[in-house]
Amino acid sequence: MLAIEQLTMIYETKRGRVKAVNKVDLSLGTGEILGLVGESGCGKSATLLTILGLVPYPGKVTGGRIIFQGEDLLQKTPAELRKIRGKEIAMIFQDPMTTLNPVFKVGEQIRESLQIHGLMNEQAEGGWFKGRKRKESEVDRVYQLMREVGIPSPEKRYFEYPFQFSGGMQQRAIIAIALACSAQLLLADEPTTALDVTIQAQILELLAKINRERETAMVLVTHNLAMAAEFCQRIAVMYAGEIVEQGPTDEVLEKPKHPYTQGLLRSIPRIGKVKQKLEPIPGTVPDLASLEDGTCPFYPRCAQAQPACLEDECTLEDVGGGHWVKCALYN
Amino acid sequence: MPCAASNPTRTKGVRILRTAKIIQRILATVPIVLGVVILVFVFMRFIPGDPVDLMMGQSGNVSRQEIADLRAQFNLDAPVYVQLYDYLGKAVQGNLGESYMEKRPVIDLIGQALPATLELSLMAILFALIVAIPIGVYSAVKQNSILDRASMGISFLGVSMPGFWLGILLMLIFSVKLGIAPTQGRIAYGTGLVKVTGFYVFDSILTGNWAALRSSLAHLILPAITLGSPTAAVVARVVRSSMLEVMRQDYIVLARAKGLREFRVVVRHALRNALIPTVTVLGTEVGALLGGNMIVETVFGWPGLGRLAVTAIFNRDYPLVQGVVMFYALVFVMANLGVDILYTYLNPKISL
Repeated sequence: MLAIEQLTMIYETKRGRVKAVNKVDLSLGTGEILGLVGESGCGKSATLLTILGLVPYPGKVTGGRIIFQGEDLLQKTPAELRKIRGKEIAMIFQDPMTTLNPVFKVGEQIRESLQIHGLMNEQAEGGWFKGRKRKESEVDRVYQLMREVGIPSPEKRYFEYPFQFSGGMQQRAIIAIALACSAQLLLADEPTTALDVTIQAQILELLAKINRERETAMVLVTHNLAMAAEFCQRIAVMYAGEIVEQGPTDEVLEKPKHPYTQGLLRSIPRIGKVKQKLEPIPGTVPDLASLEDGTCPFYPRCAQAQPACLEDECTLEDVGGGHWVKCALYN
Repeated sequence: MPCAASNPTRTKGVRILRTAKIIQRILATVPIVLGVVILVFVFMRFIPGDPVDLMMGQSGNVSRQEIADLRAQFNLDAPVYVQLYDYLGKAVQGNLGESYMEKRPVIDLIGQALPATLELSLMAILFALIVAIPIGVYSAVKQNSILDRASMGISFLGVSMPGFWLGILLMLIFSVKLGIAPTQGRIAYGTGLVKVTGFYVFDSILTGNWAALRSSLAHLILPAITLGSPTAAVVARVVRSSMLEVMRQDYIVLARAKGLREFRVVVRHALRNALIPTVTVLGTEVGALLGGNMIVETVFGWPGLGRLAVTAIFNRDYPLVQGVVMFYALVFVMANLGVDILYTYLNPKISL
């Protein structure tokens, strides 16, 4: 349902072009959950926002295609994109405490989605009290949505403001906004990072339930590999704006091919192992503005670096079983 | 979006609580106004110059006896605290004394001037908001555009330009050169306006007197612009900076991700939040507006409280000064209360 091909998004800055999203290829089937994993600032969130057509200023998409339901989103007019946003593709954000508008009632913020996409219009055709009827059916639907995402006593909480909600409840309300128009694709940008561990599990369980019951496809952005392992059917590893490895979750986690993925897995502490030695990846994420075209961005930190890495630009290569790697070792 | 679905049982309780709190706040203004009155009463008597001297000064051939009689008549020979006690005793009964110069009850003079001042001030605030909010919003949305730079430059001018200078400048252009606006007063003679409330614009609409409406608006426009300009400049800057702040927030991204039009994102989701700091600033601007009133009313011959105050101070017309200042304090306190109430509607986290 979603196929991203060679998507490139750059920030034009005074110090040069920053390739925040560099030739990214991703694909997603109906009802599938894809984990997008990587360190902070590697372009995960930027990829999601680009899919929605909300490239943050001063970003610009310079190439590629985003095929959603057979149509290229990059070719759509702003008005057409608005009809897709929130209705066909919805997004969940990282920090629920700052994502709801503080001055509007929570219920009204959920209702707004129904209202602007005209979802309840047919329930109230004609008649004198059309607007009122529509509003009533919208409010009923909001109650139903709030129940579905696990907000208790929606008749009361509809009228409360975000500051009266806990973080977990706010995230549930944001999920309700995303569900309002029954989107087929849900983009979740680190939906549990800002929450307590116990709440994290609840929110993940809620997302899993939505995926089961509604067959909603999801892209889950996270830097938490354990969470991705548990939750996603496929995983894509991102580094410095590029997808370096992509494949079925078990494949990628058990037989990581790319040196970066291998390093990432070695640097995770495991519960149960006594006195384990953590091996962090040496060095830091490179400055994206000073990256040269065609070279591997991981080269300076890579333990298996070789002269070939600097010569030709690698492409994602299939190493078997739908497992793709972008590395000179496998080219 | 149309108004929220209401939850009758909860909102009723909130409403009663709100009313009780508002009454409480109004009662709390009494000591403030009283304090202002006492301060002004005492200070006026410390200022060199004495009303009786001023009244008698010009004629030259006045006997000591006559002066003493006049002092006694105005109760000026008693100690200050006795005068204050007498004044406050009468004031609580609604008697603010009689103006020395006009020989009319102070309360009547104020009653005549108050609507003029309120009309001018409201118009000035209206002008400031209508001009400043769109400019502030546009400047923020199109940050660093030519219009942004230009309007922020002009607003800098607006903050720093003295009111009397702007007033005279406007008068020169629109009255003297172009001849499209009058320079003095509130309304032209012969429009036959029947006064109902003392707000001429309102009265002329009420009585359907369109000639009077045109005339009173023409008289109002220049002083209102003069008075409102500094406020407009400040408000435009505050709206711009708070819009810039708000547009960076996560909830703006959510609003866009919902599929809202950019106009709705800016006006409904961003501006509602940006208005919270704006209203705070507006509260402090009321004080500046009242001070500006005295200058603008004097420049434009506007028969309001400000001009009354200036004349009364020059004449050492004690009762009139005290009365006017008392009303100034009342208006200021009430305006701030109004701002606080408005604040509770804008910011759900705040209650009175």
